[in-house]
Amino acid sequence: MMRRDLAVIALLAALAVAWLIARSDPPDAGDAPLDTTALLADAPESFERITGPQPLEFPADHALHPGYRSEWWYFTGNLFDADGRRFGMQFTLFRFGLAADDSRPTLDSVFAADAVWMAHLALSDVAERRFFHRERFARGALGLAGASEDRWWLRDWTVTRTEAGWRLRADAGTFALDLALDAVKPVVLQGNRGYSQKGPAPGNASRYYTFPRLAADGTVRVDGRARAVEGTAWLDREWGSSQLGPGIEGWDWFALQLDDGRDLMMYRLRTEQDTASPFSAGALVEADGSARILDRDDFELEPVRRWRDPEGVSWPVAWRARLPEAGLDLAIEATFDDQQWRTGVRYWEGAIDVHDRATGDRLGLGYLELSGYSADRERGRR
Amino acid sequence: MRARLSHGFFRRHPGQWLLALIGIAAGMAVVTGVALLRGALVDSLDAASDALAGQDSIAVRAADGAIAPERFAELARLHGAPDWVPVLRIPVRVGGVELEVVGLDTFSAVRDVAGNASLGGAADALEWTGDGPPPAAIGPETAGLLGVATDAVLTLEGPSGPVELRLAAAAGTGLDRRLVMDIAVAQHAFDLPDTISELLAPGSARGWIEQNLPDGLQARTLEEQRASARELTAGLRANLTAMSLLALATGLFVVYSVLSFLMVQRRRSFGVLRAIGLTPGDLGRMLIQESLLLGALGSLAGLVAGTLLADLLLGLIADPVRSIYGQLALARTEPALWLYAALFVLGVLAAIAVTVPVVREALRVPPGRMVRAASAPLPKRVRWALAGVPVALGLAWVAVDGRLVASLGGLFLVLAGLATLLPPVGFGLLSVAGRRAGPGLTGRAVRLLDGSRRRLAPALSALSLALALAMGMGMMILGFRASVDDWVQRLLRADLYVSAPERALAVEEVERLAAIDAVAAVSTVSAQRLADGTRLTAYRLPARAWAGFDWLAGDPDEVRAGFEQGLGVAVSEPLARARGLAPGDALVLPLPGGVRQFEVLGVFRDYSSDAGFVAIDADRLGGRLAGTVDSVGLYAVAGVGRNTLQRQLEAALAADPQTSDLQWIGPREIRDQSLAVFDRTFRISWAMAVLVGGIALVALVSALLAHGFERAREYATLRALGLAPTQLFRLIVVQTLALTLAAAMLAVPVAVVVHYALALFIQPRAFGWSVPAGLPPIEPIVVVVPLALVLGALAGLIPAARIGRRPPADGLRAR
Repeated sequence: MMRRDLAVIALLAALAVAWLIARSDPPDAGDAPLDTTALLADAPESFERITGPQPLEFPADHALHPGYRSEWWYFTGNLFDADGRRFGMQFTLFRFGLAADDSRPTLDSVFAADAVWMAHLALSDVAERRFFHRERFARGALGLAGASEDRWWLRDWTVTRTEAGWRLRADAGTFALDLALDAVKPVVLQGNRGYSQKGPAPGNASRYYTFPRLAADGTVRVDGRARAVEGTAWLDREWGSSQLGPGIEGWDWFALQLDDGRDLMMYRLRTEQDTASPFSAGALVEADGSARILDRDDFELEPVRRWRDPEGVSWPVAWRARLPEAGLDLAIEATFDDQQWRTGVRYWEGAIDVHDRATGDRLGLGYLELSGYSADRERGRR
Repeated sequence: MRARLSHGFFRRHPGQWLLALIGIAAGMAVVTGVALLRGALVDSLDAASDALAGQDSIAVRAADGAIAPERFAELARLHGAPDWVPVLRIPVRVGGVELEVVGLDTFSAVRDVAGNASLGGAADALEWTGDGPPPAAIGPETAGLLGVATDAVLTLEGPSGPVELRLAAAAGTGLDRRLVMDIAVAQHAFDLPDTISELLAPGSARGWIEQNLPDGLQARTLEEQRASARELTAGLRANLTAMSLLALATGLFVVYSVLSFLMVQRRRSFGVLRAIGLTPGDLGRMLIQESLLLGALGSLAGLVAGTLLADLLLGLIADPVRSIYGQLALARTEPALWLYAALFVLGVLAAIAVTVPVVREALRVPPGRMVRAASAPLPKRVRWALAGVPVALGLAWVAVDGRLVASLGGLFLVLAGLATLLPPVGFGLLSVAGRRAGPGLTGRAVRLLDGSRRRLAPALSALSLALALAMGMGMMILGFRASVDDWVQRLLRADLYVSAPERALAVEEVERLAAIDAVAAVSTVSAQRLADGTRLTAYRLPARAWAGFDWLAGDPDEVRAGFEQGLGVAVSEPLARARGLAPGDALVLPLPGGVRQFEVLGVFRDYSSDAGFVAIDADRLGGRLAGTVDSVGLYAVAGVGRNTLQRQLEAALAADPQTSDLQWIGPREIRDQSLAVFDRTFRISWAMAVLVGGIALVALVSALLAHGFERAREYATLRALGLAPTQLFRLIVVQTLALTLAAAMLAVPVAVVVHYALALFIQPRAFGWSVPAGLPPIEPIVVVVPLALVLGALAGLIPAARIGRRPPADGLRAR
């Protein structure tokens, strides 16, 4: 009798305690980065597609191209101060078009926008192995972000066109860049006269042009101290909708500036089987500015060392690159390993060194971009 | 064995056990409910602001309303400017529930919005494809509050009419009473295409904002906003806490009176136990274990009931808090485990504390003793000292310390002192009544009560105090309501008041109104909040309107003369109290045109805001305040009735399409509306009064039931001596009614003390406003006393019926 009464009381008390604990339990929330590959692979029907070559006009084509899903203005470069201290730099403006079909309501709002803009600013302090980066967004409304022939901007980060090239000014608080970027070589139209096919279907392509060598001159501010710097930079411009074909996992993109005056761009579109897609391509630009477009068979890229980020994702930060026709067998390696973007978008973008693989002699420097590796990790977990 | 003994006893007396449990649970429920409610009033963290710009984020607002989009665009592009998150806030209603629609720039705000805590992954769902109504994210608590599914289509009442939204579930915290939309979609749906309410920036931008924020914009951190929410609702919360402690004290009285009756019933068995060798220590441990178990179970039940109660109370208080303090309360209280743990410990300790005197008495039972020895009553001097010292201390505390806590503590001390005086006075009343009732059965019944004097004393004083608290709270609310009514009627001097629902009126519109034939004079009012948070109201008043002020300080004629000559300002009572202002003091105001100093000319009575405000002559101001008005009072020409005035006004407005949105209202309707607001605001106080009253009635019934059972043997003796069952029935009912009546009569003067303490000390110190001291309203007495008598009679009937049915020998054999 007593035992039964005690059991009933204990049960009631346990129920009350369980209810109280459940009642005081706060809900949890998740977090997930953007999947860039998916963003570049799909686009609603309403977006225009790039299906063949078309003449480009400058400066008109420096401005944005509405009607396409994505577009970017992409500077990377290597800078040195008077003491020879080296910095890598990246400034990118991305535009993502919002579906342009008629079913979308026309909003009566000052914030009504046809695009979202994202800007990435990064500085690699090679000597101290520090990677500074900052991401900003803006809605394409109220003049918060935009790109005309003469000016590309997001909030107070701006690139203005000058006589010889561009002037970049961007302050991220803890670090800042103010650079004159003068074109040393003329524009290079990638692929077939700027038509860069990246997949088998019509529309798996982008419009792509490059200024492969810009002379950089200006200041870098870091640790509260402004340093005068000089160096070389690279500008990529690209736009399109549904560029990537099916089965593409990500890409590895190289922009090399060699001491002999040549510039070399190569990208490997990586399949889910970790092979190079046949649509991988590149361009070799001679010192005089003449360019030769490379296709999949003209070069070979092979990862030789991987770096694991704190979350366990492996990034290939050292490579072997071979271009038999150009007589190049290159050892490419990150100036330091951790130049990884950990924001809404996860990718690796950093300064690299280029050496002769046989002799070990330094041949030049450049920038490397690794994308789509986080997705790989997710798959591994499944 | 000890456990077996306890178990056996409680098995035989489940009713008493349950009453003690209910006493603890009821008291704990009210304390828990109020503790949770306190948090819910302040802690409605705006998770949207929090997650977008960080816990330390800064909100920038315009001094005069919304931020112009061009201004935002310019600010966003300034060098070094933070990544502003523009926010649109729209007050809306769904049924009787006040909500806020928050429009966020989900794109320009950092992209983590997609996965951040506040929106719980719903950001992508905020894009409107044009299929169906515009989407809005809703949290599960808010959906529960509205009783809608998280994917339902909801119609809500916006500032310019109903708007239909499609809900999208968001798992985030802190979306309480908020619906989150994309700012562009929200602007479109609510027809506010260029409105921005505020800009959020991360805390790291503080330095930049301090240096670069242009005039007309003001920055406040979330922490500052939270602090101001705490400050705004401090009075309300203190009041609630005081009332919950009163309820706990009442609950503990129930426990004490039930336990002491239990002890009487077990006295015999204690004597036997001692005789067979149980030491006082064993006995003490047994009793403490019992009260531990009782306290733990009662507290657990109280925590559960209190959590449910808190959500009910939150429903009562959320809307007034929204309309009066501009704060959104949580949709559901958010208890923390530590709070539960602390309350649990409080409950168990309180239960043990009231058990200690009972146990001490039980331990004094000598082995073999069956009948309790009557210990000598305390000498009169000691009794007076026991009562007088706490009362004197309480009064002294209130007198020397002007804080709210002093008036609460003082009230407790005074009540504690009175509690010791109540039983002798009550039994005095009963013996007078017994003598008056003569030699009949009724008189004998009442006189018999005197025999259980010591046993009944705690119950009598508990009952009186509990009834007094319930009545006193009711008196305070009614008295305050009457004062507000008087104040509103005095204040409203005009015949009609004209305003536009969505905008301010321009000076030309006022002139047009003044030109109406039947209008003798107009008054104008416009209010705004200054940079330092001070509320400023600008008046233009005709001579008749001045009689509406009830001046608490300052000479009325001098105030008016000084006011109209621009020599100074007048302040409302809550502001004067909060800042210690008196006529002659200087007051610095950060006006839009620059900081200026004014002399305080007078202090007037005002119940419209417990933050208080400054009244200034509109002609002394420049800027928006001078150019526009919120409301116009129309004073009819002598001899012209309100109907004529209204007809002329209608005709004048109809002639001009620009003024077609103007609305008018008479003083009568404003008074009714004000009282409706008052009633909504004081629903929570009524709820507390009813809770305390409910616990008091539980105490009443439990004490009387216990008393009836305790007297079983005595009744059996009376029956054996020849008392008929019907006579016994009458005797018992007369006794319980007499006890109840005594408790109620004692409660009335104590209720008046509680009323004046609340009205004269606690209200002014909590809210800043005083209530004119008048006679206390008698309605609470009229309601509570008969109710108590009915319940008292019922509580007597049950034992009477049981005892009446039993043969007297059973009752006697118990011996």
